[in-house]
Amino acid sequence: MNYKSTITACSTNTWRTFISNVQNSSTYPRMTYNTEMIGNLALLDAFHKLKDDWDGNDAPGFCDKAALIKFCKEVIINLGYQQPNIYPTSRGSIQLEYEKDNGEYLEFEIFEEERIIGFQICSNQEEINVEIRSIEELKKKVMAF
Amino acid sequence: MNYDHVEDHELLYRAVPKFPNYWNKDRNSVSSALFKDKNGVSVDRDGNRKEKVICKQLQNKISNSIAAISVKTNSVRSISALVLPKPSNANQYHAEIHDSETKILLSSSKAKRLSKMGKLIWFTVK
Repeated sequence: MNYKSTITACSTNTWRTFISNVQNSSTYPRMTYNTEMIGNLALLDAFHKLKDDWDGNDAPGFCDKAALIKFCKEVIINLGYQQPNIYPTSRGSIQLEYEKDNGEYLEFEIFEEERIIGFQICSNQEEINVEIRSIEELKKKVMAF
Repeated sequence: MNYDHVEDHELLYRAVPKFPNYWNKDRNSVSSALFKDKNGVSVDRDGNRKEKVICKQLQNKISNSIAAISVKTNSVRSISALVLPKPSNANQYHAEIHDSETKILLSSSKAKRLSKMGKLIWFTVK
């Protein structure tokens, strides 16, 4: 999981403070936070600090994308125990990924203004692109995967 | 090196940063997110240089990088993506991968295929 790299990127104290903030936060709904979810929330906070040209190829930073980061956190919290691998892209979006050993693959690319583009590779290698209209719809896709 | 055309046999290199971590050790591949770039996927072509030299130059250019992904030009063309030479004053080896003649951004499908084709080369510590 990616949260390990966040732990590497953050000092131990930063990490402890983050967990404490999440556990005591009134921003997030009261619920059980699993380790992978906390890791992904920490990663999103780390992505939020990425400045312009963070990839060395003129990628836009995420410093001014508070609404996108907040929306992604909402998605992550709603996914409960089915946590994806998450990555920023050099086109200013956040990508969520699930992959099975048999090659089945499910991806969501989340852009500003809560726009979500889904992409799936099925077991028969058929590829499906679909616009996702809500977090509930995204969650249903993940549950069905 | 031909500045107007990237040859099929040439390798293309894209830097992999230390953070964010794009490497998925369970799948032994990078995430396709590494190939989603608003300006087209920025890569360095080999230009008949040795791999060691290419990696050193990439590492110097992108200080946060810890590895590079290499992919052969004809493999990129096999998924109907375009490889365009884009030399600049700062980097004569610069090239870009575009989705097609009319679209710069790679589709999710093509980005995923590229991520599976790539070979990871770890940089040696500076």
